[in-house]
Amino acid sequence: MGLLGNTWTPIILVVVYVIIFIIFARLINKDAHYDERQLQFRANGYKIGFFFVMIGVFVIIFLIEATDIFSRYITPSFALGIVAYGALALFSVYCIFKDAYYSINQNRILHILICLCIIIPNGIGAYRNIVERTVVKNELIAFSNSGNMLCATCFLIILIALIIKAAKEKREEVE
Amino acid sequence: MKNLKMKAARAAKDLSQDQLAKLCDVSRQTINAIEKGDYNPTLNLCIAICKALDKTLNELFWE
Repeated sequence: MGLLGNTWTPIILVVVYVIIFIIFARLINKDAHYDERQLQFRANGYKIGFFFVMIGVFVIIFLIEATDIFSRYITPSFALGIVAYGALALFSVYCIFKDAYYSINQNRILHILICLCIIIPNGIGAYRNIVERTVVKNELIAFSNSGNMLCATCFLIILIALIIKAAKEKREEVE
Repeated sequence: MKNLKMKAARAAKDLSQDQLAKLCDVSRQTINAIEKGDYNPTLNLCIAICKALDKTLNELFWE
């Protein structure tokens, strides 16, 4: 059974990924692109995200080397996970509020569905880790068992920002 | 500074921001930002807007 599982697991994974790729390739609009203003703001967003990562990594290294604040509660990998997902959330939220997140002709509902497809399984994984108390290992929060939590939180922030922006746009249209 | 000339030209052609955006191949928010004076478009976009509204660069973008 173990051998069967080992043999079939990668094949099943490849088939699933190919199917997902084909579905998204058909659903994604090929005319979708960003205009010049959006590209400017996205470049700013990349810059903000980049500096967030740089400063975040520097702060983590400094705190690990100089103090034991981190090493008492969390592992360096978890701290780096926070920085990476934080940068992604920061970039996305910046672009959302500058109207540079969705490209022209992009299917917005599909995008929200993709967000939900990421949030739901990761949220379930995070919930399971919290209930089974596997997030804390040897009195430290490790990335291996809290990656789901970080990912779900990051995309939840993005989804909330998308909803707030959509509500704001609707109000502007009414006015 | 608000671009009232562009807004007036668009209204004269009975176009919504969304329709003008589609004609110029940009987002509605970009047209809105140009009209509100929050964004300075490139020359290429200015020309595209002028063509869509049947105006010259001088009429829309020169003070």
